[in-house]
Amino acid sequence: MTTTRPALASPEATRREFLASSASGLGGVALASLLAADNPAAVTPAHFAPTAKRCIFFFMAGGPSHVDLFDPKPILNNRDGQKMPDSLLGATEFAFIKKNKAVLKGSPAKFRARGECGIEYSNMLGQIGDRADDIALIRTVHGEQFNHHPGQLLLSCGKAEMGRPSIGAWLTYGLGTESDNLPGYVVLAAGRGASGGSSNWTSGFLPSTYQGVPFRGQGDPILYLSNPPGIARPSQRRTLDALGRLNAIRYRDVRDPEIASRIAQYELAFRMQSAAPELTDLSGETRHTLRAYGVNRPTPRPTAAMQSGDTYHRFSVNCLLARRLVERGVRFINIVHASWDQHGKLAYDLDWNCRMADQPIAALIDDLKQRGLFDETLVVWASEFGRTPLGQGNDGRDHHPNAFSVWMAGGGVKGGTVYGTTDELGWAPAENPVHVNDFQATLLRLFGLDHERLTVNHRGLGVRLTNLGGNVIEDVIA
Amino acid sequence: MHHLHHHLLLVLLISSLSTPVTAADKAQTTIRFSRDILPLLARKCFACHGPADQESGLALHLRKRAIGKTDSDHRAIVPGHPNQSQLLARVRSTDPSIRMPHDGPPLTRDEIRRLETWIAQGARYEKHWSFVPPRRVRPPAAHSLRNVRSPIDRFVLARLQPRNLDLSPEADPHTLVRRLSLDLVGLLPSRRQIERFAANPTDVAYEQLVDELLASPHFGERWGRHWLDLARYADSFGYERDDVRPNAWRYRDWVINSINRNQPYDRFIIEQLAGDLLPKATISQKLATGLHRMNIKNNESGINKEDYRNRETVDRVNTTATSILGLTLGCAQCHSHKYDPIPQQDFYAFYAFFNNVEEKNIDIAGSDKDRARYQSALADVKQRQATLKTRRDTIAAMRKHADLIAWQKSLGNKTSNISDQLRRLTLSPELQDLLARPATDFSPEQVKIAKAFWKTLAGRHDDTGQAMAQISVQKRHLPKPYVMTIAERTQGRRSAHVLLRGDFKQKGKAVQPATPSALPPLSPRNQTADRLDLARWLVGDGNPLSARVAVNHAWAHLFGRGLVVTRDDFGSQGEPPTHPDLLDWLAVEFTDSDWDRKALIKRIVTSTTYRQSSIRSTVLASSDPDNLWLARQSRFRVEAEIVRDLFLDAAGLLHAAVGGATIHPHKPEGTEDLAYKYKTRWIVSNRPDRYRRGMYILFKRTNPYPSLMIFDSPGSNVCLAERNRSNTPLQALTTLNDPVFFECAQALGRRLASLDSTNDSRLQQAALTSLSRPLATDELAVLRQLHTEEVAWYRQHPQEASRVVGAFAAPDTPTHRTAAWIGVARTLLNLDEFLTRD
Repeated sequence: MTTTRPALASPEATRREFLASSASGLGGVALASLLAADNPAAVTPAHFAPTAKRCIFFFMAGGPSHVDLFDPKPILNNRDGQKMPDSLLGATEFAFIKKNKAVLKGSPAKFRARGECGIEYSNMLGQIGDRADDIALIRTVHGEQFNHHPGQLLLSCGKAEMGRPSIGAWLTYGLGTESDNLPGYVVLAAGRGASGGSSNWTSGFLPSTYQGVPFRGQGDPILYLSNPPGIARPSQRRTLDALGRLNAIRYRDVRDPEIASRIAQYELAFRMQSAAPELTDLSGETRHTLRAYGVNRPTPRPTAAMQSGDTYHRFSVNCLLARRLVERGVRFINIVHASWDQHGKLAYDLDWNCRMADQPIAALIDDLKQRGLFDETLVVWASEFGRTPLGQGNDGRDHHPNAFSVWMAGGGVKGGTVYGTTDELGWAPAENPVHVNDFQATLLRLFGLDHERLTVNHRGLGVRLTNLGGNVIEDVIA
Repeated sequence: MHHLHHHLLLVLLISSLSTPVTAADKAQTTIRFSRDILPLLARKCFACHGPADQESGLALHLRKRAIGKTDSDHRAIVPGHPNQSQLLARVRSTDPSIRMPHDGPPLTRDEIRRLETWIAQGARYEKHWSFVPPRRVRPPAAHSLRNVRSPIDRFVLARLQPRNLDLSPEADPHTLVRRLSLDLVGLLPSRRQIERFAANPTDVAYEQLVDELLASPHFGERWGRHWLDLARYADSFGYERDDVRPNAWRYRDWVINSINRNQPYDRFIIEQLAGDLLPKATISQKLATGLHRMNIKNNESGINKEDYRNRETVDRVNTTATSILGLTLGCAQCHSHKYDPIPQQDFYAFYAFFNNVEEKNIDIAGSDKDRARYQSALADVKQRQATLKTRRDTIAAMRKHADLIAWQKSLGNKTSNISDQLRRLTLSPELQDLLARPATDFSPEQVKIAKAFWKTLAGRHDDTGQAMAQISVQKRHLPKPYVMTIAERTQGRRSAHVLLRGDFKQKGKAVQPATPSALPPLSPRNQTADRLDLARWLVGDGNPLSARVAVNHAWAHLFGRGLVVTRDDFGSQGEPPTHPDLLDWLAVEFTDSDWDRKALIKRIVTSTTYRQSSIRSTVLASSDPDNLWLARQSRFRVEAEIVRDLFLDAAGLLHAAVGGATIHPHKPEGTEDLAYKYKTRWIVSNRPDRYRRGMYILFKRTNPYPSLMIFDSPGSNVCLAERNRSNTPLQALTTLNDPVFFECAQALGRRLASLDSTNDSRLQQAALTSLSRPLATDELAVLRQLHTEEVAWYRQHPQEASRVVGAFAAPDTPTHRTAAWIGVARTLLNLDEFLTRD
């Protein structure tokens, strides 16, 4: 595999330069520090001047209903229970709806204009809506995958195909990470996972250095972070010192730069062992902050379909952790939440989800702004698809990839914007359609990366996140 | 003419300065199309002027078209006349509106000169190197300071000598034993093997060791696992639900056994692709076709079945092409291949071989007892399902009975006891009688029965649904006695079509099963070629690719890099072989030996090239950092499963049984949270099988075993020809702290503590166990110091000491001493060298 990281020399070349300029027989610690530059995750310059440096990506898996949350269609309520025109049904495929029985479904949500920009948001996400002036809302995102996992692959990896790197992997590959003691790409899951599982944060054919590291809700925040029972930190240090010395002797004898890299990775692991617990320790946060995010909120009883161990508290903590990760230079934080698949019990379950997400996400935006991090931090809300304007059963909607909504805020996004218009039913884009690949191209552009130049040669093809598509939506960039 | 010669000389001179690769090969005074020109055209020109697109009427992939007139009435190539050739005018131009390629950097001076020379020499075309069958090449004469043992060494030396390089000295005996053991069986060498060879490192002893390892049942595990990467083997279906596949491991065991009994590679392939079609196919041959049930399969509800059948078929095509032919056929799924001569039609003609594949589950339970247990469990579940269904139907019937409903209303809520008979809610003759008449005709006794029945109905309705759901979950989790294989659809056969833009709904022209047109034709047994014909063709005499691809894989596993670096791409976008003659020689030897895998491996590992030291001298570090020319061996970290195996082996914990059901070793709590709702039941085993090799761990695609993934285990969703070898902090945390790995340190520590010898001798024994070699003085000093510090620390921290020791107390040894040895063992097992094959 040949890789073309933007701008800078390959890690292999860096190693070679180092080797050419240094004599053998270095001591372990000196070796480790000398080879810090050897880290494949070292920061590399972008193609253009970036506006965003870090990303908090809310991956609302399952398919939140755009017509109930972001794209008001009063006509659905007027025509509730009526058939929709055959011209629209046409070649559409559904996962579950039977075409001959399909009728429109009104929305339980109330929309109203928010902020100075006056863009309409649903009362179900009222607090996020009140930040409308900071948000660029895209109402015409579309894809072609109407099942969960393929749709999630399209959103995360640019194509409904296994084995390709996810967005976070592309970003850390393209730009490196600024954190010296935490992974560059972190996954925070609340409740039940997305159906795509780890394929949503995979490094695909890129080295596993670039894969998302899931932080855990129980036990160690990172797998195997704690020492085994009885091994105190001084013991761990003694082990690392001996390892460094023995590895350095081996390096002297066989001169494989991989050994130097191994020494550096062990030292990074040691630093992570103190950095990660410090990260997840919220005792330094003020009561005001904890309350704003809704940490320790009670969780209302979910319906049977939703029972999954989700708690409001966990989602709030993840939002707060996202800010703490951003402060520590982590490049990409993926907050995965998967209970947005309302085939039934939509009125209750969607509201339940929104109550979980609304307050902490709004608090996160405020917090980032207050700490001066907002301008460099891109916050994204996205999903693999939206839901049909048609009803499924009494109180549900089916999968709908033809048009759905995604929003971005911070990181150089033009706030108070709405881009794209769907038709009167919210069925398909009427103006300015945005393919999932276009959205991805725009995201990369905010990070100063040209989606057509951020490529990796894999099996003879220059593979990129945006597959064969991708047009940057300039109108949402400030 | 004089001018031309002068020019040629200049080309060679300049290229010898700028590209050491071509410069050093003295034999290559003339430009060769397939090596020097085709890759260049493919990379820089074919995107717009190649097999798929011919902008401005120019196609450079066919000579006839390239020397003909373009839309603008120019000729891109005038053979013999570089200066009349538009191609050169365009690539030389400095005017961006004229210069080619339009969207990309200009060609280098060397590339332009290569084109000039080639056109001046007549612009001859030839087939891409890998499409020409391998020739038996005479090993060249070679001079070396080393002991030249094999034709392999001669071929390698022929490429080293022009670079003024020679083979490295032989690795020391300890390294050799460990290298062989890791490469051939993926386990540490035994103490006996190390000591025997170190005492007598002769060629005869070396060969004995090779034979011993090749005969080990662990050889099939080691090399079977390599094949399983290509086979995208996993124990679950993938996608959203990702249910566990019943008995997928039976296919895995078939692979291990086939390799252990050294089944010839051609039959190994034929049985996997078409074992079901062989005359009088045996169970084993059918089992082999499990290969094409390993694809990911979407069991999500609400999918379009034809859509996914198409995706599965495409995956079967791609897996077959990549694993056996080393071709990226998949690129031609949506459009004709941009770089290789594979039109879209060829893709679907190949696809047609797999278009009538049927999923077939064959009954080969582990034992009669398993089968009986399954059948009785299934009968039980079915019985319960039937009962529930009757109950549900009854309820539905009653609800629909308008008379009864009206009658029930008239009765109000005055109800009485429920009889036992009604509790079961089956339709007794009595009830049937009731349902058949209007309620007004009921006798008082019948009113009583009906009232009771109705009450039961009202109370039970919801239960039925829930109970049905529970039972169907139970049914899904029953141990299945069958294995997934493929068979050929006989009725309602599907015709294959070109699918426009790869869309299963847009059928184009119909196609018949056929092999790619750029490769030798296939002669079918009957009128229409089938999967068995394809399988035989793949490993048949005229096929130029399969033997090369197979030997290249073997080479890559033994040197860390293939002779063709792009193991999955032997097409024009792939890298040409570094040692084309060696590749061909090995391929011909391989087929001539009746595709004998063990003989091939033995041939390679007994060469001097393989036995070299992997140390990079300062010269080699700068002249050939990637070790393309093989002036030394390579050094690389072992694969994910082998990391685990080495730990268990060094600890003396390894449970070395070969084959069998998947295992569930310790896995951290909460790792299921990241998976979807269909969670695996991961019941941690407390039997010895938890210490089995890594390749037996249940592999669930959306939630794979964490430590495997941390060490770059493949996701197993698509065919994979080469694993990544990353080096990350998470790997350090895993081998330092994962309880599975720490347990190994504890076990090794206890063994060291239990030895009756001096500390130095214990350290030496620990090194021999883990690194397969004695320690040097400076290393011994570091470990001695560590040991002393650990003893002192744990003497002062007895509570920590007893927690470190846990269940691994050594007899008659103070706890702090055992703890100290565990600390030493943990250090040794985390050395770069321990995880590395030198």
